[in-house]
Amino acid sequence: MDAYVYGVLRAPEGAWPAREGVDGQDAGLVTHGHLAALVSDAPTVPVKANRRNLTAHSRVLQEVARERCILPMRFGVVMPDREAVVRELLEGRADELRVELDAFEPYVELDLRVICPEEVLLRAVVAERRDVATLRDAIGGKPPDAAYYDRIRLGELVAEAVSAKRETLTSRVAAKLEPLAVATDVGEALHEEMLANLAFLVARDGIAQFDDAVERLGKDFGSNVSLRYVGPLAPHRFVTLASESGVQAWA
Amino acid sequence: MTTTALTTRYAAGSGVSRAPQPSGLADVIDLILDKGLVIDVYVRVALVGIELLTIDARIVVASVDTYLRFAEAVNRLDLESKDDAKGLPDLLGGMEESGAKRKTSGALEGAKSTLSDLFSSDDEDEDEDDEDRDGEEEESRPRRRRAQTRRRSGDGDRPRRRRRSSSRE
Repeated sequence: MDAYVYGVLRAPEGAWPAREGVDGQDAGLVTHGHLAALVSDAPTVPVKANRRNLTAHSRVLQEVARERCILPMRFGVVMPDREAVVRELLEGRADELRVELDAFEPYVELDLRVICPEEVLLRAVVAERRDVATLRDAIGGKPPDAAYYDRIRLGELVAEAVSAKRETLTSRVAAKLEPLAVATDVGEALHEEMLANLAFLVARDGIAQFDDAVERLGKDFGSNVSLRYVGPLAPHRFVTLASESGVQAWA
Repeated sequence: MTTTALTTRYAAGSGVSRAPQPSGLADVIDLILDKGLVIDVYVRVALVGIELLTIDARIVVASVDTYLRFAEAVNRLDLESKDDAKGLPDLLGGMEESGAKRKTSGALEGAKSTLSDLFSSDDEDEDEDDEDRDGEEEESRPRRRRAQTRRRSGDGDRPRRRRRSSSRE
């Protein structure tokens, strides 16, 4: 039976709770020496990247990550069977995995996304950018066809201003929180109302302090901006282990 | 304030609460689809099942459509009633024109193209007949995060970055 792999951790002691994973299968451990892989049977290969399976993959990992360090696999890793998991992953990549586990052991990932309703964002742009306000007023009375190129220009200016805001805000948020983290990942905005998409690698015992900092940030932002704050997560946005290049450091 | 499933995470009354799990599919996909350990020989994902909506929602830059949409949205703003929405907080303000004119660069511009690439192979040459279909196989290649381009699914001419396994077709 194909084996779906969620991640790798240090072989734990004691009982391990079964969790429902991808395709409704139980996720459990395959151990080899001091290493363990969290796997489930994969009756359907390739695994369907549907909502249920994507959510299950993430849920299983975050539940484990709350308790202990687990190196998360990307969604969709399926090996031919559990023997192969031992042979090719836990045994074959043991050295690299140990290095990564040592590196990530004390840390969790915390994700922070900053969202601002488009209208609020656009009002700020019009208020701050004289060129936008002027062009907007100039276009105001004209029929759409007559002002076609002006409209494009206006939209371009707005897009530019929104990008600049995104960049400014991202660096400011990162600057405030980076001192509390050992690594930071800046991600792409996932939609137009997202102003920052950041991930921080934070010491497990520093989570409370980080919470406080995020809370202060939320107060500074006020009600026009919302924060989506998630964690503790497995270090998805920081681990890298690719078969061709071996281990890459995250920082 | 807009409140959709994707947005707010406020505890009642005060502060920001930390959620134990990502709340929307877009966030989940952002987290697990192209990030994490990978042993590329073994990544076998059927991509037909992912809701394309999550891709359409992704940010689009530098297209006339986007500009026209922005222009329309700005023109629609009722600036007379702006008191309530007055002022993004300080953190958001302070944008000088010179700063705004500068070409954006860096982290946000260096976007990951991977997600839309993932989907491109589906809508280009596979029937979109959903997740019940077996036999497609995608093999992920190791990639650098934050590739230098951003693409939108639906563009016709982007380079294909993902290779299709021929062994199962």
